[in-house]
Amino acid sequence: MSAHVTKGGFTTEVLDWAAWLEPVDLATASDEQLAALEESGPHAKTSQYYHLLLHDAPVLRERSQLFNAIMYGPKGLPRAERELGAAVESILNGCVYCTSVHARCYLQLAKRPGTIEALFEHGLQARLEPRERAIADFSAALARTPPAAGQAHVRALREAGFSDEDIADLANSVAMFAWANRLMLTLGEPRGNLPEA
Amino acid sequence: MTDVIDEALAVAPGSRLDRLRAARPEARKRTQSSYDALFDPAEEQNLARGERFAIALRVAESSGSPALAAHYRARLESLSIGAGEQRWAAIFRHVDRVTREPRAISAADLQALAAAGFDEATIVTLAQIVGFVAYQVRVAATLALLGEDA
Repeated sequence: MSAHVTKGGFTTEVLDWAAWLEPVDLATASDEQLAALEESGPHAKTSQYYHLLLHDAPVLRERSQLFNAIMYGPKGLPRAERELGAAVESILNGCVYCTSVHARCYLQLAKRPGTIEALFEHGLQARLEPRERAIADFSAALARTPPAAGQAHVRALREAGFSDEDIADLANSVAMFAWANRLMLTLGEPRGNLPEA
Repeated sequence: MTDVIDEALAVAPGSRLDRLRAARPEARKRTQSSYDALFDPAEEQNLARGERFAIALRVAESSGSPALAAHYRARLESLSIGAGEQRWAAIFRHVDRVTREPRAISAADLQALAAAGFDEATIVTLAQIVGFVAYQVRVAATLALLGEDA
């Protein structure tokens, strides 16, 4: 895929991430730590983020399995729309790194760069088609602290064709990124070709 | 097998919410096993179990989840907390900011925690607890919404 989107302080270009604390040194890592890294996927081996999270290997291990079940589980809401929920949560929290990854996944899966461009530039004021509108509004409301999703959001999703299983799938993705954003934003920072705000 | 979200929301076996959760068995199971890894760790490291529950209670309260706050309060009351007042002030200040405004945290904040005696593993586990409860309150809030009407 060639066409990346960069606007409003966000980008779909590949970024790096640097930890603010000393990550675990793989040369001295325990067997449990190495197993947790192995289970977190091929990209984890060269990522400072995963090396840092190895400080609590049992938690990383469970979290990686949960992440995979929610984002890549075979049944239910199309993967593209799980990625859109993750991207909206990340945009609202100002997580430039998480946004770059998951807006890029959405682009690759849904082939709708206009949606990402509009969300980057205008946030929730973006003009979206009805199903995307319902996803963005629910995701944004659930992202708030305390979460503010209500029956009107659920109704809008049902009108857009969502089953209750689909709504729970979207919520799981948004909730997973309430977690991921809080790690990425508070333990380090994005590096690389950063977008201007 | 205990499931904390089912308990907090009083999800009855065979009910609509039970069937909804059963449709995604791996997500349900790994949510609980993440909880177990955080709150029933094989090694407490530098965060005692009582401290972990106190942090989770703080996040559940400021995230508007009385049901999960009640769970963590009950777990907390069954354990004693040894931390001094200063350590708590530092922990709660950080926890509140990670909960409410994670983008405001900077490298200098982590350096200040390190200078106050928190090692890398403690700071990572602290962030994982806040992150997990942020996840958990949103899963529970959505299930509660879906359970309200039929």
